Amino acid sequence: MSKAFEDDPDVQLMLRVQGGDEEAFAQILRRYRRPVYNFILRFLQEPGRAEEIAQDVFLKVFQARRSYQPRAKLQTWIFKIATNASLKEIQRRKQSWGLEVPLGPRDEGEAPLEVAVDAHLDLLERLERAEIEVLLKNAMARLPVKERQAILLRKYQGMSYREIAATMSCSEGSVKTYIHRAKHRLQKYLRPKVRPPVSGGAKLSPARVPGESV
Amino acid sequence: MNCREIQSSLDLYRGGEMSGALREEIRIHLESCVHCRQEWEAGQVTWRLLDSWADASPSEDFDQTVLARMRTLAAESSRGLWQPRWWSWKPALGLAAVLVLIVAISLLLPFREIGREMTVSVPDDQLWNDLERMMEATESSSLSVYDAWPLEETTVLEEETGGIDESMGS
Repeated sequence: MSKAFEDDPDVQLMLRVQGGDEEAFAQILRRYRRPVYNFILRFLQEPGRAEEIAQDVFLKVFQARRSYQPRAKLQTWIFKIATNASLKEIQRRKQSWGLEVPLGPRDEGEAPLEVAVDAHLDLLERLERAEIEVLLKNAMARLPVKERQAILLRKYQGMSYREIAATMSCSEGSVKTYIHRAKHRLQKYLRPKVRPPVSGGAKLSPARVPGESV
Repeated sequence: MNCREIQSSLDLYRGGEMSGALREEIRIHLESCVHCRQEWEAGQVTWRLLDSWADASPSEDFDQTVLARMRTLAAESSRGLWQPRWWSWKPALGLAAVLVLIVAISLLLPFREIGREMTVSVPDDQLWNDLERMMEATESSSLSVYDAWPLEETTVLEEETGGIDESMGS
């Protein structure tokens, strides 16, 4: 076992699963069901199918328990399985329907959401949460697959570039490019709908400082 | 760093995942470069918007469904331990059997062809006797083979052709 991960409580749980401990598997399930489900849901934007695929992910974790080797965080391993399962679903859709973009919500025919964003005001006071979600889902659905995966893992799982690279089986440099492009595309799509704050409204310092947990 | 490098590093800057010196370099750059500052501000707005995409909950029976399927898998897996070892090679064995069959057929086919070439078709006894009789008749009377032909068939032949013009041969 790699020294870096031997104290990880998740790794300890997985090693117990290897030994046939069903309760340990139930604990992993409780800990990861929500993030895995939400990752797949945001990626595919189809709740029913996302639930089925999320269940399959945990069954694959169980099936692969004997070959599991703690070379990385358990989170990375589980999300690697989730990432592959999501990609497989995209491939299946492309073969079945000739679709690349998942069937997410569309805003055709709706008036564009003109949001005056001020850095000092809470967005939720300006817009209904549901409206923002529709806006974001449409923007996310337009991203290429790799960029969508990278930004979801970064934003909602709080993964470092190294962890994302391990999850997506690519280099850290590629992750940096995916995230930069994804943010650029999101901004490009959202810009006509969301007016940026007046220059000088946003702080120039980062929200976090080195050493803080991501 | 130039503007391009600064902009591609803004996500790491936002996360505080860089050295103090690099962070300070970017901060100073953002104060002086309007274009990069706008990029930074737009990125911050996008990031805040993504914050507002709330988590959803999986169905209430999610865990129960997974655990039930897991137990089924575990039961199948333990049954699988009792299967003989060669059983897992079943597809490979089938393929090997088909290959052996193909090789065997391809090896036997040439011998069948040789056997067919060596077969001599022997005329039946009646035909053989008729042939011998015709040859003997020809040799003894210096007649042509046509003269030894059965009479009724020769007659029919003459009627149809109007007889053979003898002068044609002289």
